[in-house]
Amino acid sequence: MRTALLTYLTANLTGTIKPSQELPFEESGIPMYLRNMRRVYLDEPVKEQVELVPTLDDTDINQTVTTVRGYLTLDAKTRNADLDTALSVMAAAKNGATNSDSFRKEFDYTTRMDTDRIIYEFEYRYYSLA
Amino acid sequence: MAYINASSALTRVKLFIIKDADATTPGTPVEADFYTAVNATTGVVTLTSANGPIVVPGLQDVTINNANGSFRWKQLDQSGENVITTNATNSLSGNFVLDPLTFWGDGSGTLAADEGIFKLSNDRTQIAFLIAPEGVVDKTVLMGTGFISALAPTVSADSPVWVSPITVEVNGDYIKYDSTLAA
Repeated sequence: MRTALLTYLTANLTGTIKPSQELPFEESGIPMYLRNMRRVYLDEPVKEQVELVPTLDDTDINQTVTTVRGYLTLDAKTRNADLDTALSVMAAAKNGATNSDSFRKEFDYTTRMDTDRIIYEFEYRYYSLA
Repeated sequence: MAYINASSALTRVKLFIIKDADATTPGTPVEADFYTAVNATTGVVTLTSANGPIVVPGLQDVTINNANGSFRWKQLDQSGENVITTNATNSLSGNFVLDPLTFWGDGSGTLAADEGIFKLSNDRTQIAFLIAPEGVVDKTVLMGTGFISALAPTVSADSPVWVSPITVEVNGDYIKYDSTLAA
């Protein structure tokens, strides 16, 4: 799922905000998304299997929720001119990334301040039958 | 206080369906019409292949209805009404996940398993059933005859698996029986 999202973002984020192919690993205790501003980092997918339809005979129907978290750091003092476009592209990636198995797709993000930087933490969630 | 536990492999709810005409004595099914043996350790049943039983899979919930009617009358010498119960309306109802094989049948013959739940309902075929509220390892079961109704398969975008209600309209009385084929 991360690969499909990266493919979509690479093709569509063409302004000053671009995706990084790297994982958001830490270097000297500092995450890459803090070191490299204006770069979208996608983490490895996390999978969770939960019951969708419980049954009495142990043939429960399960669903897998695949979550991909991402990070983007920008200068908080001056709003990036490409931000709105980039956020629209990232939201559109929810449906645009090739993923035929999911019956439900979600995207949301939150922001937080870190001194003079604003960090966008976003999350894609894909629901499919297990 | 004890309770009826339906949560373990041995005690899971089971609903068997055959065509009533295939029972040894139509109208009065017996345990062996549905299965010939039960493993007392695992609860696995050996179905009576000659009758092609359907074991309804993916049951989500089951309700055993035994709703007696009532007749009430008043007497001048009493302050309260008198009542007597009358014939019961019996039915089994529940919801289940559609399994293609048991819902549509395997199509290779005329037994219940061949025709599937949908055809039994669509053709209004009289069925015989055995409902095991606590499994079939030396537990009480109910048998009877009736007709399948209330099928209404549905699916939604949030839960893209077909599920359906099902009702067995019971024809006459339930037959209460203590299962004996486990070994």
